[in-house]
Amino acid sequence: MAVTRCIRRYGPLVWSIARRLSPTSEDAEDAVQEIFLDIWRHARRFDVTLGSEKVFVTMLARRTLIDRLRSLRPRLRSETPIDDVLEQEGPATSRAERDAELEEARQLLRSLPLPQQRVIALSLVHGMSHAEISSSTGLPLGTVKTMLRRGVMRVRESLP
Amino acid sequence: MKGAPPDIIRLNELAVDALLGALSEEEAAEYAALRARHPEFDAAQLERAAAILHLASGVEREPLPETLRANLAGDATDFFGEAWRTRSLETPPHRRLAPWKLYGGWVAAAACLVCASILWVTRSSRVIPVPAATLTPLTARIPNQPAAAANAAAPAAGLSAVPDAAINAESGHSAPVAAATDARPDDPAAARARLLASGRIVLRRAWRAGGDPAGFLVSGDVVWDPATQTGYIRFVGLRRNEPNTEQYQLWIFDASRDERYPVDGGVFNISGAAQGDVIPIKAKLSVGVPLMFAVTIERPGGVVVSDRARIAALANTT
Repeated sequence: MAVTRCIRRYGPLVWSIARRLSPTSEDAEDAVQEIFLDIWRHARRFDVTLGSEKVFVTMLARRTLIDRLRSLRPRLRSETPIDDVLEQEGPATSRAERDAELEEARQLLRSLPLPQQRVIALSLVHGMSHAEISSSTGLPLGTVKTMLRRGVMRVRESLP
Repeated sequence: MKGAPPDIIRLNELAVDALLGALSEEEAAEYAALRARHPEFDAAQLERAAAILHLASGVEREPLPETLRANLAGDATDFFGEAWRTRSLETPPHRRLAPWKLYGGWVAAAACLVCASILWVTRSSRVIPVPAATLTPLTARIPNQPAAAANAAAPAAGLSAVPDAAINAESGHSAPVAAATDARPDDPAAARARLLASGRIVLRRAWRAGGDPAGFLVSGDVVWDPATQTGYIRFVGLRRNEPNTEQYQLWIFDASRDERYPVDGGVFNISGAAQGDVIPIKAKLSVGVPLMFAVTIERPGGVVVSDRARIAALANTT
C-alpha cells in the first residue's frame, strides 16, 4: 500500500475518529499526525489473518487517542448535547462496511438492548467517560461499566 | 467468561476499562498487579474487539482538511525520505541503525514489560522473543570523559544522521537549525513552549509505559533541540514520587555511543499535578543522535550505574 493511498484511504477514518475523541480540532489534527506516524512505524506488524487493515488502523488510532484523552480527561466535557449524540447513532451507517467481521459485530450490536447500544456508542465513538455517560443517560455507573464490558467481551468471543 | 477464576474475570473487566481509558489510578495499579500475576493474559484480542465494535457503532468519514493532508505528506517525507511516494508500507526503508542491537537489554526489557502492560502487541508481532536472562540488568556506567571528546559529532551533523522518523519538523521541514541563543528559562513549561514555537527543528516523541507500575498511566512527551542541546520532558500520569525514598532519572541513548553507556539526563521529581510536570533535560554529556529516552526509578540523588530494574517510561525515536 503506497503511503499516498494509505493517507487517502484511512485519513478520513482516522480524522473522524480523532474529531470525536479529541477536545478540539487542533488537538485532533495533532493526534492524526501522531497516529499516522504510528501506522507507518507499526506497518510491519499488520497481519491480515488477524483482521482487516481498517481494524488495525482503528486500533492504533484508538490507542493514541485514549492515551491523549486520559491526560486531558479532567478538563474534558462533552460539548455535544446528549440528544444530538443519540440522534446520530445507529449500529449501521449508510456507508456500510463490507468486512465480515464488522458485519458480524453490527449484527451483534443490533441484538443488544438499545440502551446498551447507545452506551457503547457514547463510549467508543464519542469518547465519553463512564461518569459522563452515567450522568447523561441517568444509568447507574455500575450499569454503564457492565454494559461496556459485556459488549466488548461478546465481540471478542465472536472473533476467530 | 462464566466459570473463569475471579482473577481472570476481574482482569478482563479491567482490560476493557483500560481500553476505554476508564481506569482510575487504583484500578490501574490493580490491573498492573493482575497482569503481573497472569503474564499469559493477552489483551490484544480485546483491543481488536473494541476497534471492531467502534467501527460497527458507526463512524462517519469526514474528509481530511487540506492543511492536515499537507502536514501528513510532510510527515511521510520526514519518515520515509523523499522516495516515500513510491514506497510501500510493507517494505519500509531500511534503517541505518538496528534499534534492537543498539538498545540491547533496554529494548528487551521494554518489550517484555510493555507486553505486560495494556499496550497492544499482536500475536504476530515480529519482536524477537527475549529469554528472561536478557532482562538481567546490563552494567551501565557513564564513562568519565569530557563532553567535548565524548561526542565529536556536530549538532547539525547529528541532526542529519537522525533516522527520518526521529525528527518532527514542527515549524516547517526546511527550517534552519538555529544557533543556541536562548538562556535557560526559569519556567520549564514556558521555555518548552518557546522552544516548540521557535521555528527550530526539534525532536518530539511521546512517552509510553516502561513497565514499572509508576509509569503505567504515563503520557506526555520529550522535546529535544539537537542544535542547542536543550530539551524538556513533560509527564502526565507519571506517579508522584517521594524524593526521600526514590527519584526518577532520565537516560538518553545516543547513536554515537555504546548503548551500555547512555547519557545521564538528570534526576527529577514528579509532583503529580493535574496539568503535568515539565522538567528541563540536564544532559551530562553532549548528545549527538538520540535514539531513545528512558526514565528509571532510582535511589535519591540518582545513580551513575543504573541496574535498569525499574523502567517507568520510554520514548523511542525510531
